[in-house]
Formats: sequence, structure tokens, C-alpha cells
Amino acid sequence: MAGRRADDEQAAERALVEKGQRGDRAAFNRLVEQHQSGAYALALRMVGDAEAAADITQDAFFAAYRALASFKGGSFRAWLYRIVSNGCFDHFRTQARRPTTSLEAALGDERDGESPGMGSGSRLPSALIDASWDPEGIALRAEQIEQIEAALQKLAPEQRLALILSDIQGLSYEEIARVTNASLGTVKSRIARARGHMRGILARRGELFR
Amino acid sequence: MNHGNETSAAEWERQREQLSAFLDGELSEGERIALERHLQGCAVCQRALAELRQVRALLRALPVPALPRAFTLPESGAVPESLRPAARRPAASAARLRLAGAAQSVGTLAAAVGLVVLLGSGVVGLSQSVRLSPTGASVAAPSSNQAGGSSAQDRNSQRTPGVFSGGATATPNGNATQSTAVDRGVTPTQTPTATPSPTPTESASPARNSFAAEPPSVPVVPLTGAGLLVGGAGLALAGRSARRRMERRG
Repeated sequence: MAGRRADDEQAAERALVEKGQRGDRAAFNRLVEQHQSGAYALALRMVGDAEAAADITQDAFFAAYRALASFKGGSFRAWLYRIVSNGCFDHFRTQARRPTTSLEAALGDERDGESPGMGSGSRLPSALIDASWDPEGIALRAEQIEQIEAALQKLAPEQRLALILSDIQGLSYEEIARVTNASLGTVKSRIARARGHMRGILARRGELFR
Repeated sequence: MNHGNETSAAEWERQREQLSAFLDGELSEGERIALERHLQGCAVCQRALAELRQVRALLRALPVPALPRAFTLPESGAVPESLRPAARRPAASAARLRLAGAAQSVGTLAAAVGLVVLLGSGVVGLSQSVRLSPTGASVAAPSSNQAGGSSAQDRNSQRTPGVFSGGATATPNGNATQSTAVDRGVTPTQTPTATPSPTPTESASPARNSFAAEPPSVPVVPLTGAGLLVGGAGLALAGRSARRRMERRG
């Protein structure tokens, strides 16, 4: 039953992609509506900055629309997320080119103590929490969410990407391999290492692991 | 698998990868069966698997981020290359941001200097008048006469010269003359200390204006003027850079 529904959804998505490839922008916008939440969440957790994440997401949809003819099938989500993750790594490169010291930084910027592109652990949660999200329905408290998000930001970008795709977005290893352009073995290794690091970071913070 | 001291880090790393993939159902049938068999008798791997599972559960429980806006494309028209300023002009953008930041900081600093100068000059003027005021009851009377009967305004202008002078700057033709007259009026109020109590007409006489060059009044006017200039320039700079930032964000 669930398998048939998934098949139907895939068929509907394929139809929207084909219409989009013929220039039907309304059909493409249906795809945007289906994937914008996941795409933005990926960008936000990767770069840790809401404004940059929004721009990366928007650019990814622009690029996806222009390059839609090159999409040859398979997981549209994985194809789209690859564009998003490329945008995130472009963002890191841009940040890395910026001199780390500026007058603003010298005078004491509010983002003190954070490396460029890695986001602030104290800033991120407020940007991440959906106003409609009901914390009562989730086992995590706000400070626990903050701890987990902050720990995520401490991972190397490649590990963070693999872990977000796997444990938060729920992609299969095969899809993650497509997004990251890595082998299945590399994906498996990155996820395991990332989980190990997360466990270590959270254990040092105390409450979540004992 | 042996988890004693002889287990190398590489071996343990490989085992953890197997456990992690087992958790995700990403092992082959043969690998899965072998690992399940191993897990039955290995407390170390059982614990490691439980920790990996806990990490995954915590990440899965994270809330979905709120969308800042819809990312749908416009119904018609060209699709832009990029919205990201950094993607289009990384170096120039960063440089401009730093310049704007520097300009704002300089502007703020200048405004602060201007304020200090203003307050400083006011303190000088005030301290002079305070120092001289106890010399006699006649001090207040002449100044009130000179200012056309608005003694309260005059006292306020002496106590808060910056505020009053600021008003003079806004309307230089009218108020500046008035404030100069008021500032000069400070001098005659001091003169009675050495002379008998003057009549209203005497206090307004040109002879009293010759005292305008006396120490209390001389530094007040130029210092106030300099303070206004520096402060005004600083505020203008700060305002301009803030406006640029808003334009860029808009």
C-alpha cells in the first residue's frame, strides 16, 4: 500500500519534472513547493545563517530550473540537494576568502567566537524553530535542541552534510552518494564518523548522554 | 570480533561503520546476519549501537525550520542568475561592507567626539558661571534684563548649552545671533562682580560687549561651534552608512 503510494508520488513528480522541462513554470513551482522546506533546512543547517541559507536555496531553485533539461531521472530530491550543497560549499569558499579581521570584528561584533560559515550555536535555534512547531509533542527541550544544533555545527562540512541528509532528511545511502558525489563506502564512513563525533560532543555537554 | 586492547583503531572504526550501517538497514544480508550474531555476545558493540541509535533519534527529533519565504519562481519573465551578493561580487561586496562598517564607526566616533566637545564647552561655560554666580545677588538680574525678560530660558541655555546651541545651528540666522547675544550676556553678568549692580540699560550698553572677549565667553562660542560641526558631520556619516546598509538589505 505504502509502496504503491510512493510509486504514485514518484510518477506525479516525474510528470511535473517533464512539464518543467518543457518550460511549464507552474509545474516547476509545484516541485519547488514540495522540496523548498527540505532544501532550506539543508542549507540552513549547513551554513548556520538564515539569510545566507535563504539565498542559497533560492539560487538552487533558479539553477535547477535552468538545468532541468539535464535531469535524466532518478531522485529529483537528490539532484536538487546536490545543487543546494554545492551552493553551501560555494558559500564556505566565499567566506574563507574574506579576511577574518575587519574593523567591525575588531570593535567587537555580536558574532564573536564563531568561524565564518559555521554559524552560531546560540543564534541558530531561534532561526530554526518553526512558529507552528509544538515543543510539547517532541521529547526535546529548547536548550537540548540548541545543544544538538550547536554540536552539528562543529562537524566537518562533509560529515555534517552526510549526517543531515541521513538522520534529519532521511535519505538513503544511495541518494546521499548522489548528492555528495561520493562512493557508498565513503557515505557509510562519513555517517558513522559523524555519529561518533556527535556522540562525543554531546557526551561532553552532559545532559543528553550519560 | 575481539574488542580487547589489541583491537586497532582502524578495526574499531570499521566495526562502528558496520554498526552504523546496520542501524540504517544498509548492510547486505550476509553482513547483517553476521553482525546480529556478533551483537548477541558483545556488550561493547551493543553499547556502541545504542549510542549511535540515540544520536540518530536526537537528530530525527529536531524541529523543521520555519521557511523565511516561498522560493517559487515568478510566473513569467527571466529567471535571475543568482540572488546571492556574495556569489556575484564576493571581494567587492566584502570590501564595501567593511568600508560601510568603518564609515559608520568613524561617524559614530565623530559624533561622540562632537558630543564630548559640546558637553565640555558647556561644562566650561557652566563652571565659569557657577564659579562667578556666588559673587552677588546682582548676577541674575542683568542677564534677565538683557535677554528681554526670558530669564528661565537664559538659565537653561547656560546649564544646557549644547541643547540650546543645537537649536541655534538649525536656524543660524535667527537663533545663532540670539545665542551669541545670550553667550555674551554671560559676560556682563560677571562684570557686576567687580562693579556696582548695573541697571538694565547699563547691562545692555555697548560698553559691556567689550567684555565679550573675556575667558568664559570666548571659549564657549568657538568650542560650541566646533562641537556642532564635528557632531553634525559624525551624525551625517553615521546616517549615510546606515541608509546604505538598509538599501542593500532592501
